[in-house]
Amino acid sequence: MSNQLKKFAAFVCSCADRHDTQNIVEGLEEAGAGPVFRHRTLCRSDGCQFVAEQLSEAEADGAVFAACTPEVYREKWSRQLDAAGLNRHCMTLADIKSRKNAADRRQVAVSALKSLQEIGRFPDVGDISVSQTVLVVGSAPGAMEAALQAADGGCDVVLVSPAEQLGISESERLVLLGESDDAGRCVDRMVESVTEHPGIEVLNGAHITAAGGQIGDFALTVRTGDGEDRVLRGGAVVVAAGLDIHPPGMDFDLEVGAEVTTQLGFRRRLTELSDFEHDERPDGPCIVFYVDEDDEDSPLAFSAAVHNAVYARRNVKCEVFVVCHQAKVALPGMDEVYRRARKAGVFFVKYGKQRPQVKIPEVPASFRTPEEPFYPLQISLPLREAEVVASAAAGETCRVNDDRLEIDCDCLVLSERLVASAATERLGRLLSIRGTESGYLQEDNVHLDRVLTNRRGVFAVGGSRKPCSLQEVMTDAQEAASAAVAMLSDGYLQRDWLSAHVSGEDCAFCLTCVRVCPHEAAVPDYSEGAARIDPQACQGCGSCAGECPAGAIELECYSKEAMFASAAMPKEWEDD
Amino acid sequence: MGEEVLVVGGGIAGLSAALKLAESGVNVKLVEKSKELGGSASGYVCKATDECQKCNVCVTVDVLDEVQSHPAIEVLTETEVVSVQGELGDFCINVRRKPQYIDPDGCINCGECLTVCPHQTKEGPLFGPVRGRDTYALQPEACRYFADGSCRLCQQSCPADSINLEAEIEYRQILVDAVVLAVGFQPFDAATAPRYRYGRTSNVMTAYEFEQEAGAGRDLLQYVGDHRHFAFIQCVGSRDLQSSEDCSRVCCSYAMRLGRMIMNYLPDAQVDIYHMDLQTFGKNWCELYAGCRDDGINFVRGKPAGVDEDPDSQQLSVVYEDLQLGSRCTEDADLVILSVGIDPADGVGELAGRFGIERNSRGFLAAAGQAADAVQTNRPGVYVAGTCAGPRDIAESATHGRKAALRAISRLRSRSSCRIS
Ligand SMILES: Cc1cc2nc3c(=O)[nH]c(=O)nc-3n(C[C@H](O)[C@H](O)[C@H](O)COP(=O)(O)OP(=O)(O)OC[C@H]3O[C@@H](n4cnc5c(N)ncnc54)[C@H](O)[C@@H]3O)c2cc1C
Ligand code: SF4
Ligand code: SF4
Repeated sequence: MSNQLKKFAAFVCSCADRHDTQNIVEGLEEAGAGPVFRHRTLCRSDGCQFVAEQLSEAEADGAVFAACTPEVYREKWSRQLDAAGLNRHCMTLADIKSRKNAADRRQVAVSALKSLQEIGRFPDVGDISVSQTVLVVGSAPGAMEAALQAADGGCDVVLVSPAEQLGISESERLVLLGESDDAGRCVDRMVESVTEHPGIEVLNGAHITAAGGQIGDFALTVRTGDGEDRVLRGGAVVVAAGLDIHPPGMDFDLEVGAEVTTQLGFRRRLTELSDFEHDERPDGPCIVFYVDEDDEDSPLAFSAAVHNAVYARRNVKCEVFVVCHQAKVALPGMDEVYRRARKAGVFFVKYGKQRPQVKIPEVPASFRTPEEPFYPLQISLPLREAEVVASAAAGETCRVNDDRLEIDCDCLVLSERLVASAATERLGRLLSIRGTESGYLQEDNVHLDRVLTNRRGVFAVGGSRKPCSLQEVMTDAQEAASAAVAMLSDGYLQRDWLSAHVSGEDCAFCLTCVRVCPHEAAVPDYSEGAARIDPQACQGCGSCAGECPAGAIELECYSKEAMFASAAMPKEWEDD
Repeated sequence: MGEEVLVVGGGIAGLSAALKLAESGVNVKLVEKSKELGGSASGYVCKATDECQKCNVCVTVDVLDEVQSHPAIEVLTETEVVSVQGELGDFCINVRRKPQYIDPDGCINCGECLTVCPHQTKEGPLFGPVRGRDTYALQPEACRYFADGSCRLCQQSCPADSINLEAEIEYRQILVDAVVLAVGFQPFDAATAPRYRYGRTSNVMTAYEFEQEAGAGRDLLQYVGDHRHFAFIQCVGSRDLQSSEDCSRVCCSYAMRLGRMIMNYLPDAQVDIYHMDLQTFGKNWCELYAGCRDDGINFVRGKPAGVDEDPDSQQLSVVYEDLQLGSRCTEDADLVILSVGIDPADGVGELAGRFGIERNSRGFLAAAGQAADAVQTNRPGVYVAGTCAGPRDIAESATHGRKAALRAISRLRSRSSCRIS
């Protein structure tokens, strides 16, 4: 591609020639357009073919399209630029139908040409070559799936696994897979496929010590299991470092111990509970599952609690309450589980604005000795706000006292907190990926693109972006892999003139842009003594241009001249 | 050469599937029953307040633009599947397309026909470029030619010679390797729950109608007029023994977002949301909930027993049970919005019959296997995507569509597909 973009062809659609296209053509020619062409149906296939042919013949660098509702055809015309071997972004559009008189139509076309000419001012860096290696971080199914899909898609993959070996731990198995052995076996098979795949290099026990770079060329420094330091380079990074399982948040000043346990601990204690015996508890022990509303993973926590509640009812003679704020049945299949639980005699108590209180008795209790008090805990909540699903709930253990609902409980089960793993957190920090307060990558659902982050080329998968079920993890992994492959498969990226540009002369090297850029696209260039903006990483948000105290930053497509040109355009707001 | 896949249904799920397929080098035929692409979501209101509320509604438009201009995707609107033969790698599907009075490949969007038509009103006969079809369209119902043959002005004046009033139904045979079904949902018919006075007063409407009609900003203010007291009733047609026992998954989020949008434009409004449980999910649901509470949205637990109307003043009131007192209470409302759930689309049964695929107990198209986002049906080479396979929101439907596409591709190219089912 040439170093300076100068020659811009123009295409004017003359359908039904109601737009006085001759005038527009003259305007464009006067303003210095390369050849100007007229065609009756630019939007149809014959018109498109015409565009591709003329572009090649005229050896133009880009094109202006003046037509009615041109936005609709942007992609079509981009493809003609592709076909002519040009950069598909090197075009501007003028909507001539929306202008009421001939002068305005002429001007809107000329302005479009001007803004295209403006980008010719910026140095053309041409296409940017990218590495076709995908770096995947994680050891669990999400990471493995992403690695396999990316490798199958034709990329080289390095799988950086923080754990000593691939697969999932015993407790993850329980939390994530529940009862299903099948899924467990699938995971084992995946480990095999990854290990055997010729396109995947696995680094077990690898810890990331430094990270940097930009889309197309990221660099991760890792210390491998054998203490060796390696620098890995790749065009994209997929973070699939999973969840860590932490003890529950202790709102109640309780410690996990005899009476208070976790979902995982509960399974282990079930045999103990089945030995529970007391004259005053003919119905067996009373078990309360408490789900805190603030857990970001609340649907998962609720699901774990209900599953365990049903399990308890089936296997031990006991009374079971689930105390929650909302019965979250939106997780797939939960409707059925919730129904089954109610049928199995699980009582649901929903609390309102105030959370329940837990009273701890003075004498610490062990529920196995009948001499001692065996109501170790009492859970109470304001009756005004409570809703009890199942009217028969009021029994020995559950009563109304002074406007409060009280439940005597022998075993309180709290949900583990699922938190973003340490590796996720570290990588997020090193690569400046913004996330939620609780350490998950990705601030929000960035619209459709569920695996994108604030940095182009960095993808967050599964537990690295939010607590999610295994199925969601797999879907994320496939999305991330296919996006990474699509991004890297050509070996280069086209620049789109959306990016910001620092004028080295004016730059005061205050590095304001480096601080404000949400996409980490601005970097200090010490040798030049000026900031530099990576054209691929930049997403054209304009934050830096707005903040730069020296006024040294312009957005290529929105340079001052281009803005003036378009500001001069008449806009008929009132007419719509 | 290369693979060819048929996508049935042009909602967000079908569009996403088509785009993914096309981007992967597969030729796509996209068949849509109605005259425009986009499905339900393209008519919804953007629920932004001062900030984006992540309702995802705008996403459809983006995908639509790309689908329309992708050379590997052929869109057939007003087209339905009539019969299906063959198997994976070799399907032969017969479709029927309504007469195309305006040739979609010829129309140049000049609008001449609309200008000359002496009978043109808002309801036709001519329609400007509609979503997903970048040409004009003609509906025979309002056209004189079809009434008595007395007028053919548009045909005579079309500069591109693209109007043919004698056009006929077109039958076509489509040969493809695989099929993705994405025929979507229909909102629960609120008329079957008469206790909320739906259909008897214009101030009780479904959220679907509200979405399609209200609009945002100035449009919303105009639409609601003097109404200041809004009541959302959740789970109409969901989690209910009479209709469906299952949760429709999307209604809580859209009601909460609509509530916030209303509060944003009308700070003096009162918004009550009557609900059983709030089934928001996904990232940052806590923040949405907290935001609603901060905005002063009033969450009332329980499913109302009905809606009353004062015979004199026409004032509506919601009748519900105070859970604590166990007694009936009423609360006024100017506008009652029923959060209707997601039901299987009309005609999904016949479609399933034609393709020989199974449906689940609720009538949605069934995917094989346990996974919640499974896409494979019992017939090899036929995949399901989006709400026709169960309730999902827009983002999930899009992901599901892309997943179906990926699965179809890896099957056709016999690559290893997903390892966990
Ligand atoms: C009131 C309401 C509000 C909502 N608000 C939101 C929201 O704010 N955010 C959000 O994320 N989700 C929201 N949703 C959910 C959202 O509407 C769906 O997730 C989404 O529209 C599903 O897309 P789809 O492609 O599966 O189906 P659809 O959008 O229904 O598309 C199906 C398409 O298939 C076509 N079709 C049907 N049958 C055939 C056939 N036999 N042959 C050919 N074509 C056929 C239809 O014409 C249609 O174009 C809301 C839902 C409701 C009911
Ligand atoms: S325009 Fe935005 S993305 Fe680009 S460098 Fe400036 S702040 Fe960063
Ligand atoms: S034939 Fe006549 S009535 Fe029908 S669309 Fe054309 S101008 Fe209108």
